[in-house]
Amino acid sequence: MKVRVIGGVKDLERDLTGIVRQVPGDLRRTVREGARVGNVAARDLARASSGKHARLYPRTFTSEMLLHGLGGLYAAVYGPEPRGQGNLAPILENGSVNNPAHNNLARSADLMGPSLAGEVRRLPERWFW
Amino acid sequence: MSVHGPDVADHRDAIAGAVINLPLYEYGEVPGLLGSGGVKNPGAVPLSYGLLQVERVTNPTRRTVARAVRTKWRATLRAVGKHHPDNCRMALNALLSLENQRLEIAGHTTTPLAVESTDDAEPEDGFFSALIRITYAL
Repeated sequence: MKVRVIGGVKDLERDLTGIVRQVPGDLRRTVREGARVGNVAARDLARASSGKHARLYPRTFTSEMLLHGLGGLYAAVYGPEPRGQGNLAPILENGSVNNPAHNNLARSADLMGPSLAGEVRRLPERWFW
Repeated sequence: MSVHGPDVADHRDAIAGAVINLPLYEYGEVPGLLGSGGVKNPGAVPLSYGLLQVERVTNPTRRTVARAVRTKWRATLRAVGKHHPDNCRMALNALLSLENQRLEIAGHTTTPLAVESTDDAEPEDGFFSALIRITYAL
């Protein structure tokens, strides 16, 4: 009885080139989803903290991809965009002499920081196996 | 209910006690200012003061099996000065002296206070103010 294992450098080469094709899409999707989820979290927090006084403010939260792989960089941004009734973001997010800070973006970053780091760390496990 | 109960008042007292030479007020309780944002008595408003809010921060790395030993907190402080931005910067320096201090709250010691971010003094509503965010765990 014999067990024969057949493999070679050509198979390894094929696997590695397959990984190279997969990487950009995975990176882009991870960053894009991270920004989307962070935006949803920030918008929900804004709705809870300022929904009564500034009804349209939570709707100004948007997420957007900035870099789609230019130079190997993937970047996205999320947060309130000034619209309509003017830019309420600094007054609501950071507070002022008269009203306390809502810290919606800071709280959303508390959630997304470790979560996104975890996602990115898990990517190579999926590529190499 | 964990040992580190959600009594924010203890945190406020500890932070106010650790800041030297600067009065820390609640929003709406600054002498000379109306709660709704007007100035009632300009002479009574202190030359520099701070405004404090303390909030609990979510801890997403907490393991579901282990009991949470550490709770995370964020203190958002606003340094306010009258007449000149330097009065605001004086207040900001007094608040920055909190960095790396360990506070005693309800019998437990916090981690060294970490400054998350600060702003420079900006004119606002007739005052100058700057924001500073500090995080720590208890």
